[in-house]
Amino acid sequence: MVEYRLSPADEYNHSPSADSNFNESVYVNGFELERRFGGWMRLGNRPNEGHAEMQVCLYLPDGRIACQFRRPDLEDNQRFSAGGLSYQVDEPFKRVAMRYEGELMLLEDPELLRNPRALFAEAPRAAAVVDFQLEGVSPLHGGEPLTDSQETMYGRDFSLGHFNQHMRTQGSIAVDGQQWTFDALGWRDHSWGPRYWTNIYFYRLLIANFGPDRAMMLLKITGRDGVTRRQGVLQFDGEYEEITDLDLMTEWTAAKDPHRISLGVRTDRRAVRMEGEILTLAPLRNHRKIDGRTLESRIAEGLTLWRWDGREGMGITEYIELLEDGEPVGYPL
Amino acid sequence: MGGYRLLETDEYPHAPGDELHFNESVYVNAFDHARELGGWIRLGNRANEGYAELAVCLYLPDGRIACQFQRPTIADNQRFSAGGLSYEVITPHREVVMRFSGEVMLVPDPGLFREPKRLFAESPRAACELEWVVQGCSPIHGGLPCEPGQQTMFGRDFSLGHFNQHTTVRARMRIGASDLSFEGYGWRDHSWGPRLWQNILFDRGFYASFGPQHGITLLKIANRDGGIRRAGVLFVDGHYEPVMDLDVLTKWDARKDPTAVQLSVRTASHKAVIRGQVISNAPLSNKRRYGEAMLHSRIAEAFTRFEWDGRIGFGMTEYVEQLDHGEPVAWPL
Repeated sequence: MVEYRLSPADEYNHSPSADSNFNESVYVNGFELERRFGGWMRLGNRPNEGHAEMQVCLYLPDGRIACQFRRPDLEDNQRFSAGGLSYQVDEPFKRVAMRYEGELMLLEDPELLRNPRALFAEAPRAAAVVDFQLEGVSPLHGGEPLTDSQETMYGRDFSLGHFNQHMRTQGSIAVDGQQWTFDALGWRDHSWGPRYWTNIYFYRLLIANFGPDRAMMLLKITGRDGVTRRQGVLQFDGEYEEITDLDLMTEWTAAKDPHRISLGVRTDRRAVRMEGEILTLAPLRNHRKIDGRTLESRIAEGLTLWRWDGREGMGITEYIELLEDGEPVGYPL
Repeated sequence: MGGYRLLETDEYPHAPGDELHFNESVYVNAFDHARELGGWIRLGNRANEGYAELAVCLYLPDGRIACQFQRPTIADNQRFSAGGLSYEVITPHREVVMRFSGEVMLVPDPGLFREPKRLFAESPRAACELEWVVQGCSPIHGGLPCEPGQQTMFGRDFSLGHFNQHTTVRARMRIGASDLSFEGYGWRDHSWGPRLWQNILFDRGFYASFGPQHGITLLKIANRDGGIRRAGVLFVDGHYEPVMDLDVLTKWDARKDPTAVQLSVRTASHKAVIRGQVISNAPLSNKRRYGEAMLHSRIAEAFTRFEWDGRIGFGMTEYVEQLDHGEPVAWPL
């Protein structure tokens, strides 16, 4: 039995633990099915390291990716605001907003993301204002575990507290003289606790909305001990159903990035199949020096078009995995 | 971690327990990889019920299935010999022989299996002589669990002891006037303990050989408590590697029978994506009164061509699952 504690105060910043890698992050996304665009923004405070991780990644209707990745300085964990990105809770558990005002890189070819040095040196830039207003369309899922031994969704070395929710996302993206607005669907999460990205051996995270009453958030995660866990929820008729099983198959590109995904998902109430196609992929990376060793993970972030029982959906596919000798450890699974 | 005990004497019949449903069964399959033919033979002694389950199922090159299913009476569990089918252990853990002398039905349309009365009434028949000399080419997997609480491969309500092995087979096979003898590869198992087929809520089993050094024994199973487990071994370069994870996705025909499968498998040292194409399926079923209820399971026995990293293998896809109002409970997963 998985039980969590979650109070309205958890919507706001928590007191950092003594862990040097304490992270508290908020993430939102929103995607419009009709024009097949949208994006995500994330701010991760690392007050004990004196910086935040600030990420904006937008998949524009014309196929370009508009993005920014920075590590702005941070003095404490009092607020979510750094590097031009800010997050505000308008009503706990119901309404939040995230806004970015600053410069975005505009990429005709996402391949440039594989080489951060070239990316930052060569990518054209433009001023941007991005505004996402989000309102919950689902229950909240998760929180802080009630017992020390309780397994958490991503594992305790990735986050202690974690909750998430499917959302209605009203977005406005103004960049490079163009503006797009949408009234669509999305997802958000909020995590706190010690985190190294490289603590994830490999995982496949699939998040999408199929209308205001139907959605999914599915995770298959494998630890260094080789043990695989399957977790997550289907939203059906508005309610969350915990999954009891998940089978996942990936078709890959020549660059070993995910291209198509087939899923079999079971809850106590239903067994469903879903098919996903990644429309645009941002092949990101994370480096981290731990105990004198440099670890590198790939973080593939794919805008994905899904089909579930005749309904189309959109969302984000996130494949995180360590690279060993440059090869993703979970490939080709 | 319990482990298994396996003795040479476990190759022979065991003293039945008191359970009415005590079953002790031996099963072999074998396939000619060049001509794409072969099949499986099983004898299951149900000494406390006074009969054996006899099954012969041969997939012929012209698409017909030659088969026999009988429940010959037996007086005890002293030997594997009933209804013209016999099983002899030549060298424990190394060599066994299965022989059948009797009549088989020649089924041109596997759909007839759905109507057992018509199958037995209308099928043309032919004399059949089989002698399959089966030699182990792999280690033996399984045995009798060493600890009372230890999880067994199929669950303790399906078998207590269970071991299996990949094999090479010299198959003498005559059906009517046709000599279909071959040398090929296969798989065998031997189980004992209480068994009701309906104690499996559903399973997807894959038992195939890719030559003398490679094979699969893969099982995804849900027993009646609904909990899902993944078990089995990959046979890699002559060694067995326990399965740590398994994903199964199935393509189905209009009758909800499997037509193709995609498997992703992980062991401690290998990752494999294996694709299977059903060549011919025998849609069998089993009915059993359970208290006041009549329980009905489908047992799809599909001769399957597999591909694994360019290697071609042949073997069985076996989908056992309860039917609820005639519908397989796990479909479409």
